[in-house]
Amino acid sequence: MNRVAVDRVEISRRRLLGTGIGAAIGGLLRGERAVRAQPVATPMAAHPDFRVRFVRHAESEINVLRTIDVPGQPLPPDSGVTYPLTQLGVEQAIALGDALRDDPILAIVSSPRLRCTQTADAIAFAKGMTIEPAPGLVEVAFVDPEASMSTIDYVAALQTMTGWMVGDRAAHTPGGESLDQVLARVLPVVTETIAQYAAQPGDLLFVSHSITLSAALPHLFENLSPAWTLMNVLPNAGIATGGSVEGRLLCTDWNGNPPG
Amino acid sequence: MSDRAGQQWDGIEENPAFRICFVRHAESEINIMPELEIPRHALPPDSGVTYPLTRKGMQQASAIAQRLAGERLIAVYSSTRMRCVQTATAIALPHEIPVRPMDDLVEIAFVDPAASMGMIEEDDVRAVMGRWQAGDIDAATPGGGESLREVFQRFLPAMREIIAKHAGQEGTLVIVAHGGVLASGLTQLFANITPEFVLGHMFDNTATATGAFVDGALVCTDWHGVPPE
Repeated sequence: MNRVAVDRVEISRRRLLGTGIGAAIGGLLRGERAVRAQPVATPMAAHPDFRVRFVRHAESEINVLRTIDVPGQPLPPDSGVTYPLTQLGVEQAIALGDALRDDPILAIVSSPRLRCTQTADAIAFAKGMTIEPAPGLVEVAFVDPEASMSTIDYVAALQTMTGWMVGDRAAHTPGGESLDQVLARVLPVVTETIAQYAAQPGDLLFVSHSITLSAALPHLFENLSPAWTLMNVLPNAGIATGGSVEGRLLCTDWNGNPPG
Repeated sequence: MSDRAGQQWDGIEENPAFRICFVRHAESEINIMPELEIPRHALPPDSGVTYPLTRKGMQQASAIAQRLAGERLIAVYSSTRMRCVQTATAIALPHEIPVRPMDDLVEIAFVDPAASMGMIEEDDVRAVMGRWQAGDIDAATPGGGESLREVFQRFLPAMREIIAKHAGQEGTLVIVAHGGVLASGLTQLFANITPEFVLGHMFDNTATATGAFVDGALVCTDWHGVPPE
């Protein structure tokens, strides 16, 4: 892929995933009505000091595609062991490990993508814990995960996510996942792991990806709307926190901001 | 031995303070398969993100990271298997440097890497290793295993490229890989390491082999505490 093509991908990507996501999706949403998700009903007996925390991985090469472009070569696929943390990502991961070092962490469950396992490991090494890879937590596929990342159509991805916000859970890009498919792999691992740990005081950590978290969490926490989460994707190393309030699972903090 | 001593490094300018340190990954679930209580046919393949470090492995990785924390690291390269990337991440984090994953450093495949590890027949592995020791480097296990020639053909060029890229720098170049690929590959990279020596001194988890350039040849100076020949 040549430099110009990479730049174009990078620009679409930034518009999609960077600071411009709110404006981009807001524009597409005009005239459509955003819907509130129907979260899975999980009546549960949780310890009052149990928290569930969703961490987005630190910055990886997939967040700065232009720096790894080799002219004439397609970008690697997202499956496999690709896109390690960048220098900045390493620093973010270390800071995250330092920040969570004294927290009572119950378990660290991570997407198997390298950027997530490296982020999870930075926390795990600070705590002297192991990490548990969970394939259900990988990033939303907007193209076959075996295919080069160069083949993603970012406009189609944006349209698909807009569909999800207005309740079209079947919307998908060619070769990509629908929201129903994403939820069918994310929610079971999340709810089963929560059920396993919720009776204990402490923090259960999941390390995953921006779109996966923004797409799935409104279907776990009843006080989040998909339009809001998709317009406010977590930054690298950002954390969304929740807990059980009177038997309902609520998001209590979205990386330092009140959830919407 | 004279062939591999110096010629492969022609044209490389070595920094006298260049060191290379090969590290075997820490203990992972692949090292304790019988304890996993997974039926043999259901064991995951080695490719993909499988067999994470055990609790003991996480401690071993932290310990090797601590041992290398005071060194000036040039870079940390790793096999793309999870047990290696985790070990490499432990080593790289205190230095605040990225890990560079490389597919060519993965373990010798005794079965198609996409097939269950339960497909490996130990008798086949022993037979093939016996033939390799007897000089038949084209022998391979049935079911998609690699020949030793194929292992050399991916591991050695990758290592020569990495070494050539960094040999002019001062400090330690860290390579995290596997017991089998290091045991076989290092006989070809180090001028003073023979297959017989290696077979008598295999790598435990997080064991290291360190080397440096001496008169244009890459020489092993420490083989996890055993004096090289």
